Amino acid sequence: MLGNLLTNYEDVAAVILFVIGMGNLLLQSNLVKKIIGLDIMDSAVYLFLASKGYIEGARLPSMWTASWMRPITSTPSLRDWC
Amino acid sequence: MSKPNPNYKGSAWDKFTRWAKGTYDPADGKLESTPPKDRLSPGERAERMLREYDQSRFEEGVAKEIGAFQIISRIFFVLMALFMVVVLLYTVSFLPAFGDPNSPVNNEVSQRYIEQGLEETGAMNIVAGMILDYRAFDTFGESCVLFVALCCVTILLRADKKDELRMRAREERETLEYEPQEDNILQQAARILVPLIIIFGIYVVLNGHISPGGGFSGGAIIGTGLILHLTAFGIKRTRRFMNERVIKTLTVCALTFYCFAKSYSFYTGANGLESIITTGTPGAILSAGLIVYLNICVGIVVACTMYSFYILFRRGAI
Repeated sequence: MLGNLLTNYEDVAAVILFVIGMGNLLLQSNLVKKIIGLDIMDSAVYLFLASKGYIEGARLPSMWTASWMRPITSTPSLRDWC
Repeated sequence: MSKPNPNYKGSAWDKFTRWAKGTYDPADGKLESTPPKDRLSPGERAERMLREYDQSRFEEGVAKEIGAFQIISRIFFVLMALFMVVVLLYTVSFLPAFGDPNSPVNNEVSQRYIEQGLEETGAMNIVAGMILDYRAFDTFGESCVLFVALCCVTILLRADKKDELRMRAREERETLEYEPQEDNILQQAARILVPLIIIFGIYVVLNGHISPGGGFSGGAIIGTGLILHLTAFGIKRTRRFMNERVIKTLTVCALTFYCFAKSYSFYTGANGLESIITTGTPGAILSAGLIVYLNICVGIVVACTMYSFYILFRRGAI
């Protein structure tokens, strides 16, 4: 039943932040504070999306071996770009 | 006998004798405070008083009726929030583990976009190739969202037809109060800055497929240039080239062109036909198929939307 709740704590934090933001939106009477609640909901969604981007064992896409660039035979340095 | 004083009229003895007789009060007009100068006409003042009276009665009635309802609704909202927490956490427990390389989201699609993005779309900026070629339909939806938001704000802030004359009179009065009238420093600076900003915005839009940038950021820059022009030169001069008809024409034409251009791509792609649009040589401006033209459309929509939001909230009409 718990599944991956204990390892995906970014997702759990995102969900709880989302509901806090929504409660803020509904329960406040001041209009500016309601919009701050909407902003908290935004941050929760960004956190959820960013946590989906982590892949274990992944590195940056290697631009030194892209096929459309000229082949680089030595270690790249600043002099190559000038 | 002394000679009569030629300046008797306003002299101290004259004032004294007149005060003694009771025809002159030296404190008249000097001790009491004057009422503040009210700029409203009597009709407007009466209307404002009536409106405040109506407003206070309305708020009294509202407070009486929904006092108990507010307590109940707050309890209900808290319960609903707790229920949402439980349901969402139950859903999260089924998600794949954090950073799992075999999760369905990390499939081969992103690898294909990075490796074959340049050959298939012709854009050196693969993000532009993704949002305007692989996923052009989503960007179309985004531009439509901007247009619909602009329409909604215009409808909400539009004055009634019968208030037109009063709106115009109030607009003239507020222009005199709120906007800087012929501020020389601002105008001299804007004379240099506004063309530079707009040219830079056009550069960012046109080079969206070669360097970072594109329609959205370039459109925002152009919108900023237009707002600076409005602030420096006033509404009358800006209305000569940026009025309601121009904005409506530009946004509708840009979105219609986007729709037809991408529909052509969908049609030829779905039926396996050869399309006349080629990818061109990467690095040139007129390459990458339709991306340049779609960038221009998106930039136009974004610039018009930014300028319209500013002026709608500033004075209520474009």
